[in-house]
Amino acid sequence: MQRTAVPDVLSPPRGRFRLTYMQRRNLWGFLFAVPALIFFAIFAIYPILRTFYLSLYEFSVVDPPVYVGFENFRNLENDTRFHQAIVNSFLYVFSTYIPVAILALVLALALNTPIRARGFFRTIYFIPVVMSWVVVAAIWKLIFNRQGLMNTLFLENLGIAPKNWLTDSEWAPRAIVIMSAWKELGFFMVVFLAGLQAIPSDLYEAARVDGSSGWQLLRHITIPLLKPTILFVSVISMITGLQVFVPQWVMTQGGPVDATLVMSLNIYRTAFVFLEGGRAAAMSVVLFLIIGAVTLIQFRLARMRD
Amino acid sequence: MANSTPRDPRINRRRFTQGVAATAAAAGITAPAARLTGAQEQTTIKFWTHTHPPMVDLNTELVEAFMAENPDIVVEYEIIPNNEFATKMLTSMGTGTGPDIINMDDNQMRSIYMPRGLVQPVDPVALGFESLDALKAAYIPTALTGATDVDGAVYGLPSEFNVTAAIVNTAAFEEVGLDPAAPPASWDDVWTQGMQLAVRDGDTLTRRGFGWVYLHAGWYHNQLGTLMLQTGGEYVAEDGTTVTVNSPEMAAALGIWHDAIHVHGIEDPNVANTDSTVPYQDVLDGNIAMSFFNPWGMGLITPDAAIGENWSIVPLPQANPDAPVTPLYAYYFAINALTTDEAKKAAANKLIGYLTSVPDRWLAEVAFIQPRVGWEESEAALAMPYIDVWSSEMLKGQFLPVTPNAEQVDAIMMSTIQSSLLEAVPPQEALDAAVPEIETAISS
Repeated sequence: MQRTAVPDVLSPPRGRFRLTYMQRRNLWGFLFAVPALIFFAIFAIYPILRTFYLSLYEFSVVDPPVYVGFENFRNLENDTRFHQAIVNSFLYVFSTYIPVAILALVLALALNTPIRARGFFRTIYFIPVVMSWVVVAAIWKLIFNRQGLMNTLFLENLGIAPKNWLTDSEWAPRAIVIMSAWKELGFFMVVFLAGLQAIPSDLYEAARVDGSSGWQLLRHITIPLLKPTILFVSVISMITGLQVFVPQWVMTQGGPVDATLVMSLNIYRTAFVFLEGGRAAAMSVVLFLIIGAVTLIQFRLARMRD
Repeated sequence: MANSTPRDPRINRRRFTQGVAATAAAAGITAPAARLTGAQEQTTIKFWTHTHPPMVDLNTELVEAFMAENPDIVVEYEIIPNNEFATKMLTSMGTGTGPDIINMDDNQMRSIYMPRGLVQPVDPVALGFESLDALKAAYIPTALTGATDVDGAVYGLPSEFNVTAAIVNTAAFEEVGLDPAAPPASWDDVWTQGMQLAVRDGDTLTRRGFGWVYLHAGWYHNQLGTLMLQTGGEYVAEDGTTVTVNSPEMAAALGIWHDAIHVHGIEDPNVANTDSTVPYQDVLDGNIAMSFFNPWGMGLITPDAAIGENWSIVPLPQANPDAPVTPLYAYYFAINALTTDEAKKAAANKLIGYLTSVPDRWLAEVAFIQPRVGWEESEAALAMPYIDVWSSEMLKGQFLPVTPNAEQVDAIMMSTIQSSLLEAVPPQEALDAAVPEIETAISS
């Protein structure tokens, strides 16, 4: 009996690789992400790995690297300038971002109420955020000049003796804190505003029906529900603050007497002025670890409170 | 062919597209070829300098004239802001992206560029001299010192050669009844006259009796260097390893600067201009009665400067007027060690030769001294204001000693000087504190 060939349409064809719809969609997504990933790998991942590598070498910008193991890290133990830069960085972070966060929250609360011209005020407070750090620092450098507006317009009219804002090691860090607070306030205000607007209004209405006061609303509804935003603000503040470079570079170049020498500026100077690339790489690794550790602690603390 | 189909003479879309593609392809092939032909004929070299408006103007003019005379050479002239100049130049040299011709000061040349092999020795023949001896003989004896290594190899030709003297604001002198023709000979004289010249508005010094420049570490180094030459101090002993920055001579040098502020009250760094790209801006604005000054500074005294014509150049005040000494410093044109391509090297040498072939123009238009033998008798020199003072100060001149790791040591010294000037730390104490840091810096 002669057999008739029946085409096998049910089993999948052998030797052919077929993707499901989801797999195809994911593949396309991945392909679209590839350029960004390549960019990220070249300009972020590679420099980070290279920094770790160079921290084990004695390396100046103009000479080939020589392997020295952990010598660069050991030398940092006795580097008083490095220690001062760490202290200066943390002082900058705390004295700038804690007041800024509190002020930004207060402003956000105020501008989240239906006051007149709130759009105008939101814009005004946000303008410094869109300005370049370099431009802002250059302008404030003039304001803090001995004959600048800070002395002539404010202190003199208040009957206070003029200050040497940028040449006094006590006042120079304060001058930079004032400038940074002015620059950063708007950004954190907007972040808090976004957080506040995400809180359902019926919670407030229910609490008001129960007779809660404004303070009780803030304490028992607003602050607890703003926790993710507060965590975001604290993490971003810490990372941004510890990496700060431009205001100190433009306004004081780390002086006077290293009073405004922060970690990033010290790293830059060590690498490109002192030509100690290996030592600067070791400092960068330490900065990386400090920021990583502080961020981890912040997340842990937030989780513990939850 | 009889049976062939006649071609449709109309242009349809397909044919139009083919035509455009063919034209584009032809252009694509021929255009690079044309460019390549041009590139083979032209050599491009890069030339960087710092900012100094009169110098930039003349450099620009000379570079344009040079390119017009040498159509086969393209010069890319770039000006780097003063505060970034040293760092950007060095970084670019390290990464192989530096210019073919650098214009660098003697301190950097001797401490970094020459010992680290970043620049190449001059080629005297390519520069138009018969031999290295002929090149050396063409300049005054100290002119090439800042670009000569211990073996006698020369790495650059001077673009400007400077000596330090003093400038006095004659209007201020006359205003307080002092004779500008009898300027201070010693620092003690400076204190006496400075106290008469200084003007205060409350706590603020509105006219400084004697003013220093506070722009960056290089300025701190040069000005302390001026004083330490006079007192006999140095950062590091000749052996290159013993730190002598806290010697009594160094304390005396820093003491002069410190005392001007904290003992005699004729200077205040807090009111000094720290932003200007013109280092002597306070002098030009008439806010200083006396200051250090260099020949190139005269190029900045334009008719619209507040000081007007009320100035004169006088010999530098001395710690010991019986044994006067003034610092010399210079900038040199040198060729990047990585410029090994023969065509580029030849072009770079040709440009340096061209830029240094018009010393009279440099003197007359920019007040830059390019000190060939007999320069002071040239027509331009004789027309130069205060040529007698500059020439006589040059005879007392010495280059400052160079320390290993000069950039780092200069940064440490800037901080040390600031602690003494801004925080009134006694000079000896400030210098003692710098010793361990400088020891680490020179040993690394």
